[in-house]
Amino acid sequence: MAIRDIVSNPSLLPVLGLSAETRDQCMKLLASIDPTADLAADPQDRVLAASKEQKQLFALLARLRGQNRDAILRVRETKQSTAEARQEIDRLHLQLQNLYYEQRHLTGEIAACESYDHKYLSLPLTPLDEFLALHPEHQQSDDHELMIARINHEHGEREKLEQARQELLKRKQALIAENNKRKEDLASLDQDLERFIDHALVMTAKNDDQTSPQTASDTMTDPAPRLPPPEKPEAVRTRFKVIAAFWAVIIFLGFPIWWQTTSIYRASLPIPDMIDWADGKTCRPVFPLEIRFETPSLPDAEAQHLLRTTQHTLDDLNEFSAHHLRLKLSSDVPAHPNDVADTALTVRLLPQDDLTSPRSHLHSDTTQLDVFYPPSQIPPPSASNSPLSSFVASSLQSLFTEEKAIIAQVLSDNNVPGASPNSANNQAPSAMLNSLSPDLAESIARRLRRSLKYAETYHLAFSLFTPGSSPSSWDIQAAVHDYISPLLEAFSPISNFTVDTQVQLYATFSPTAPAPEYDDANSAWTLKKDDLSAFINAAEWPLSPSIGSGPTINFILYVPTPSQSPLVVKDSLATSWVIPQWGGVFLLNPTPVDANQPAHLTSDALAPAFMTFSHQLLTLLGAPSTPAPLPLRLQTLTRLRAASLLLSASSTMGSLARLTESLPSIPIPATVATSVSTTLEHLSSACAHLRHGQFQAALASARVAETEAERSFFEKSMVGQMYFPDEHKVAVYLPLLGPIGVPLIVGLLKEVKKLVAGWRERRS
Amino acid sequence: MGVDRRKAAVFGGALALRLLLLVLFPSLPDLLTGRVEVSTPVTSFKRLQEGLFLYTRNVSPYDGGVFHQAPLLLPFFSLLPNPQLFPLPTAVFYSLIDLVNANALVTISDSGQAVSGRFYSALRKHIRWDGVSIAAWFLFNPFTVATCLGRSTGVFTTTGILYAFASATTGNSLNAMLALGFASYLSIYPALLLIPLVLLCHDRQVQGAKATPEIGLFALRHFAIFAMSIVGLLGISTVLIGDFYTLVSATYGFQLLVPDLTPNVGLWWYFFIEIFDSFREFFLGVFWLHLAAYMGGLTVRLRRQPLFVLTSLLGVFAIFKPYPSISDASLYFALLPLYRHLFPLMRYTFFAISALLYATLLGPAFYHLWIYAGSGNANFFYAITLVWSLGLSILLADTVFAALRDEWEHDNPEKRGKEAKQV
Repeated sequence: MAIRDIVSNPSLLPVLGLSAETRDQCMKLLASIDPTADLAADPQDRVLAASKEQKQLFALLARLRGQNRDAILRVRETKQSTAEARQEIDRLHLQLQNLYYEQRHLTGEIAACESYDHKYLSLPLTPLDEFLALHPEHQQSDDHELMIARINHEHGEREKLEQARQELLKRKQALIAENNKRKEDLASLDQDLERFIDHALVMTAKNDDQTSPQTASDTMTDPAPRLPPPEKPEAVRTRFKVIAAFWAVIIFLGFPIWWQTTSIYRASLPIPDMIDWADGKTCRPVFPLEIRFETPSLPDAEAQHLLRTTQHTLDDLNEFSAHHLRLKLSSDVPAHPNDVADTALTVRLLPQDDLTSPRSHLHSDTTQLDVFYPPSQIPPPSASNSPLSSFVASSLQSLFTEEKAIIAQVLSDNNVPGASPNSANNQAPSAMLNSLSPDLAESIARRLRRSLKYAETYHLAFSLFTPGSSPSSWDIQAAVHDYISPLLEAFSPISNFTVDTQVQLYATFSPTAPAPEYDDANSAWTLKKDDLSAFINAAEWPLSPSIGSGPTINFILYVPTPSQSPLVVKDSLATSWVIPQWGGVFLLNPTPVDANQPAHLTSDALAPAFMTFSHQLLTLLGAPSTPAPLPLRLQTLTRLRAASLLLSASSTMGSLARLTESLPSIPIPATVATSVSTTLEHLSSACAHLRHGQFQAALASARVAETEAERSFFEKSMVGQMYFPDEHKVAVYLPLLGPIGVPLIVGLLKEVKKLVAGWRERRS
Repeated sequence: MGVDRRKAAVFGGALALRLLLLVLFPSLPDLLTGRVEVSTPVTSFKRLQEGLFLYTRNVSPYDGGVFHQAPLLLPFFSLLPNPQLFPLPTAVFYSLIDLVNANALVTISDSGQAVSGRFYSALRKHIRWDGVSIAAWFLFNPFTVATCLGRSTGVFTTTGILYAFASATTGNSLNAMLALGFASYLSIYPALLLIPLVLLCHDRQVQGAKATPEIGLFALRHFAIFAMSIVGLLGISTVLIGDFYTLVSATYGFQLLVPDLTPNVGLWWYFFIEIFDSFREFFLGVFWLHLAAYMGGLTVRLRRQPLFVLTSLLGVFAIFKPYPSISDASLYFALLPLYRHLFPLMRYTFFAISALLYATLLGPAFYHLWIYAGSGNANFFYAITLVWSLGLSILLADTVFAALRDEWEHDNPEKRGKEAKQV
């Protein structure tokens, strides 16, 4: 039975039996219901038997099922118990693994411990044999105890040694202290010895005995064998002499040289005076113009009265006290001949019968004003005013308006107080300027801009330029003589002049300047007004900027080519113009236009050009445009120049004073002091002359003052000396003198110390 | 006669060397004449040529503003043919001057004043060179040869000084004063040698004759001779030039005020280029006093060895003169071997000699870098001149120390040969 072999579990055996029984029952049932087997049997019975059989089968099947269920339950139970047992086994297995790991770790630890190199194995102990020799009782003890005993022994030994060291240290300290004490003793002994040697030397010198220094040196060599032998007195003397030789050179040669070469000479300057001048405190420039009246047809008293009323009117009209007119009769004789003022203007009062109102006429070549008046207008003695006097006053006033304005301008530019504080009609120049008409002020300002700065000497350069080959010569000498020289002569009190001339052929325009254009309306070549400044070909025309010291005034006479003439300035058709502060240009167009150009310009041909040049010269020199007569303009210029020179010299003095005060280390040579005193002298004389109305003399003094002031201010040795602070001197002296000086000074100090010591010795 | 033959050989060899150099390198004299190390503004041969040109055309030689040497050289050199065309006579003349100087050295050495004088006799006097060796040392010194070929007029001053020494050591004090007067006339500074030289003459006088002349009177008389010689030479010069003031301001004024700051091997030029103008006069005074101050101190300290004082002063001049050149150094080097016995006592010879060699070799190189290559500046050359001066100073200080040490050992015989410390 195969199945019985496989299933051996006793709990399953009833199942097997039951299942076999059930099969048998099934067989029976099958047999009972088999129609072929028992046909004889009663079908009823058969049915009954079959049902009976069936019932039994069902009972068997039920039992089988119950048994099957039981079997399955048992299987489940078995499975569970199997799983539990398995879990238990896994846990135990894990535990076992852990134990294995622990074991291995411990094995490793043990190995590490066994191989660890301990300090005590290499302790610097006394060797084992020695120790055993010293302590035989440890012969038998085991290693551990032996080691402990050895370490203890070592510890004791070391403590003993440490104690010994401390003791030695203490002894060393004591010895050092002792040493120091001994050293001090020795040092004091040294001094004693020195004193002793000195005594001994004195004695040897007296007794001519050689032994005592020898013994002294012997005694000294004993305590300090390293010390050098004592210096001999002659060596000391030699050293003293050497040091004295060096110091003699320093004191007798060095110090005088130092004093001589580094002292700064500062001449004393009258600083307060100079500053007063610069501030305008010393001198207030005034311009009293003396005007003389000639009244040939009037009796003296009436003339006097007329004069007084006119003066009153003038004073009322005048707004600027610094510049005023003083009227005088020509018959008046001044009290002091020195006080004679320059007569600015002579007024001749001439009666004329056919006039209804006064009329004036200014002479063009003298300083004379003729006033024609109807005789009826002589003011009666009682009248305080009259038409004649007011006419005279107003015409005089108008004559000098421009001059007054210019002077006011100059004074205000230099910040000069217009009048002294006590003056009744105290008015500053600026107030005067404000009252001017704007046109006049503008024209004055323009004139001041145009004119050259004052100079002692002006160089006049007349140049003839022509783009072609002709004219190649001009009658310049005659032209200058005729037109310029008289003017220069008149100007000679103000400035000096030199005259140079040149002729330049083939002088072309500069390439950048616009070429002249032909203007059909005027049938002339025209230059635009704006292009006039480019007319001068500065690059190629040989116009030297300055000849010598003073400024150069250039006058250019340009003769255009026939193909380009006439050449005029557009719009105004002028042929000449002034270049401010530089010179003048005149275009000389040949007449007639179509004629061949003359090779030589005659004096007549030059006449218009030089007339123009003379006017331009006046303008460039700063002469006012009114009044018309030249002598009056020259006088005005004289006053102007005197004023401006006075002011500029004064301000130069102020600058010099401030300079010398702010730089205490610059030298002031004696020449500067002389120049300053000359300047101040001339300044005060110029001021006095101005006050007295002597303008020519004032100008002369002011010129001298200005020249001297400039010379003193631009003194070479002062300008050359830069600001050099005192602390820089350390840097100058120390690097060289320090290293030289230190040994010399130390040597000197030593010698002095020795001398003082010797002197004390002798005293005590 | 053996010695004489040696001397002839040395002198002939020196002459031959100079002429050989001239023949082999015809451009060498002109090259050396232009070197700042050889020619200073007061000794330059080129400037002498300029003065000579003016002089032979009857123009005052000082009008050119280039010539600053003594006028007596002019008529002398006008006798020689033009050195541009015939360089040989000038070279022979200069070589002969060198031989004359060497002869003076031989005289000085043979007199033995360097090792034993009136008050003092050196301990190691057996260590010495004979006169011919010293002359050879002088004649074959490259500095001397360069100075000779560069035709510096400083050699005449050298001649004056060496003859003054030679005459003094042989007891001929009149000649000594005249020679010193000649040297001082050529270039002021030898006048500073007057006092030690008078002392030397006096010592020699005392040594020679037993009678001791009164020192004050002796000095006064010699000073008078010295002054007379200078006055005489100046008188002749004035006759030659015509204007005494121009003469003095162009020669002595130039040497005293140092207006020409051409670089040279000295210390003055760079300092005066840099100094503020307002301090220029003061420092001129300081520098001159510095130069002069050594005279008194050294004379007093080394009273017993006046010839050594003279030698040391020459060393001082070679360092601190306004216009030094290698010719001054060669003069100092010429006199040093007289003190061969001091050499064992010197301590820094190696350092001093290497500094000098260093400066000698690098000086021309740095000058070239500065002036021609433009890759250096004035500081390069000045640094080298400082090294040169440092080397000379060390040498000088060392010899002075050695002399003092020698004196000290002389005075303290028991300390001989022992270690000593300078205090």
